[in-house]
Amino acid sequence: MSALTTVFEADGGERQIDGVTLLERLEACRSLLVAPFATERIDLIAAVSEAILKRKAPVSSFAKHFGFWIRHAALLRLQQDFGRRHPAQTLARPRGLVFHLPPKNVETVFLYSWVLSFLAGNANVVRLPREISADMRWICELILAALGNAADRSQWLIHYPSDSDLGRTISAAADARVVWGGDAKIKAFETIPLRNGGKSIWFGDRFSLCVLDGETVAALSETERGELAHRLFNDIFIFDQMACSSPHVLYVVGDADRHLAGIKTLLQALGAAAADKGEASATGHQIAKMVQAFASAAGGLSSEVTWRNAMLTSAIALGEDRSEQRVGGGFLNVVFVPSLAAVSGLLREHDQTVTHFGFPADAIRDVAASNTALGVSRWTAVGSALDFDAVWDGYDLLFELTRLVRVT
Amino acid sequence: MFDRLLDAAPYSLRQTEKEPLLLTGLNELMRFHTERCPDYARIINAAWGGLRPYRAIEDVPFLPVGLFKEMELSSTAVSSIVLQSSGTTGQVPSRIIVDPETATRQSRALIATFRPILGESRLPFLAIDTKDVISAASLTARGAGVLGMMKFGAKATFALSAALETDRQAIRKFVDANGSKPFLIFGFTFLVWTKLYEQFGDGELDLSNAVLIHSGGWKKLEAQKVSNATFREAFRARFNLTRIYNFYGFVEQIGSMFVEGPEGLLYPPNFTDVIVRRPGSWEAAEPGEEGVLQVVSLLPRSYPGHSVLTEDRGAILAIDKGIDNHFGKAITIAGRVAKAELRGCSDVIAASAA
Repeated sequence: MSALTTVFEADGGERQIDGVTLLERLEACRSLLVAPFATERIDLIAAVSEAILKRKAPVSSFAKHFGFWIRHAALLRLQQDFGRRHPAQTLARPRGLVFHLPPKNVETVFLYSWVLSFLAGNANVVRLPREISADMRWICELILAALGNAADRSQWLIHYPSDSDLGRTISAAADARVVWGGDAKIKAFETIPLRNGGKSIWFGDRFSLCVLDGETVAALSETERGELAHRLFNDIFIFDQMACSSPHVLYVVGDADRHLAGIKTLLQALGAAAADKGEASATGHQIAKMVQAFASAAGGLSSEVTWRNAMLTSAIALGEDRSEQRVGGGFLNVVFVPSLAAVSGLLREHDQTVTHFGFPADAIRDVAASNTALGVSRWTAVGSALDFDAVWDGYDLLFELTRLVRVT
Repeated sequence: MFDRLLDAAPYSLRQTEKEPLLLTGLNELMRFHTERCPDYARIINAAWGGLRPYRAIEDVPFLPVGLFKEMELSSTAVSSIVLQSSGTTGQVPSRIIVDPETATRQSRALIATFRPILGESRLPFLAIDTKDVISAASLTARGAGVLGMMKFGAKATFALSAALETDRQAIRKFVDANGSKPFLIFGFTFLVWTKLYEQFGDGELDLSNAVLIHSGGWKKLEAQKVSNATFREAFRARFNLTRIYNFYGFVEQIGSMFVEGPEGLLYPPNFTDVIVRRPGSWEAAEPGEEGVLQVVSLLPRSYPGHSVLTEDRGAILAIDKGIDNHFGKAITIAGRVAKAELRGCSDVIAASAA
């Protein structure tokens, strides 16, 4: 217990405390639990939402999205949904102290996992990455200030050096743990016990993809195509295409003879939208993407590669095979497949999100239902790949972070 | 074509004379490689819309240099050696297929480029490197450079131990024996600075008869605030060494070297040329505009490396200025292209548990 823990405080400051003090505080906050969706907690989060949404200075899209996601009406809907999912004659109660380990780079994800756990009534301790963006810091300060005003001492945003044993110490004090950051992080934490064999929720490495209906895309008007390109842009380019739900492959249901032209026009629109909205990729990354596209052509995997765009490089596959290429930063493989059912056959265990466009809801429901293998935890419309959902990666997080009390 | 370009003095051709000659050779090489290297032909089809006659040098398709790290591209059936670039430690090396024909072209090119500087007779040769660099199982860019320059040297003396420590005694002995007549010093820029310049005091060695040829880039020296001008002045002041030639080249196009000439600029020889491109659209940039360097060369026949997009930034600062009979383009190198660090859900640096 040699290393110190940095505690982020309500006044925007930071304080260093030793391991013994930290443990005392964490122990104490286990007796500060409240019922799920307690009014004071809903109001506190809704107040944070208002502060974010009414800010006049420009805020990043993730901040806006988060502010919108936690607005009062949305929280009430979460509450209602949660209530409806309860088995009869049960009460939901918090699990206790929850330890959150967000990924270093997609730091915003912790906001959602913390909010859900907070609403569930838990005490929470979050290890923030050492470096967070200015907007992220601002949101953390809003949250800490709101907690300070409410004199809530059950929530902790902290940082400690990764080479210390504090991860082990806090785990031993925690009743549940939410581990983001991929397979390597899971490996590092899976042998570290929680209090009384508590529960861990793991978020491993994931791959995501997109399915488009070739016929529908070919029939789009220019305006509709622009709209679709804009939604694809959000899915692909936010977080450099490296979030676990960012798609890397476009599977097009149809055939290249009839639908390639429409897809190429769409890719052009996407490249243009990206060039319009985003900053160009670093030159070195543009070249790295070019190398991958050329290598794919040389290997006979692609019939056509498009690389004269600062943001987007794409390769049209020759075959119907699964593509595992995960280059990131604006790189798409396009694979033509004969049917939606064929896509189902290509899914793998580490797949997470399938974004879709151009199919009737029934068709998507059917293909999702037909897939009984492991893999894929989410089918959602193109444009919402990165929208966080309370059901994520196969977990109903509110359920995972509460316990049920049978009352008869 | 190649012979004609090779026989003329290295920078004798005006740009307008040079381009049509090079273009004929490049068109011929495009056909040659698409016929002999199926991987290359597939790239030309998928990324460049198929082979066609090219009317300007800037229309000739290029390969990004990193592709040679991904795959071995071969246009020869003859048994060949595989050159590997040293790169940075831990990086995947480039693998370049060189057969006897291409090796001969490379060495003829090397001679045509350096003969005007080094003269006809073989000079005593001091390599600022270890002899291990040329005996490694797979040749590195440094090793290839030393081996190439040995063609101009009589008997090589290696100035560094296997651990790259300066052998002061060997250097002194070499200078005592050879210092009164012209001799050649060759090494990587960073080694020449740290293992030769920094290891001796002012006036400790008389290198006034030396020709120093060095290459490898300025990145490490820039960190120590050593520019080309500082470098030149330091060697003059300390060793009275004034005949210094930096050159730019890379393992994917061995033999095509841009040697330092008038105004401190780097000049491609007749059989090589350079195009500066704008990232994104990858269109050719205007003279003077900084961009990414593409280098074309008539040397490579055993592998399709006759037109490559480098990962170096630079600009064309002169065309046909003619100072000291240096015609054609002249460039300056601005450094490497910026790399990207992508964000992502996976913590790349794992994840020490506790």
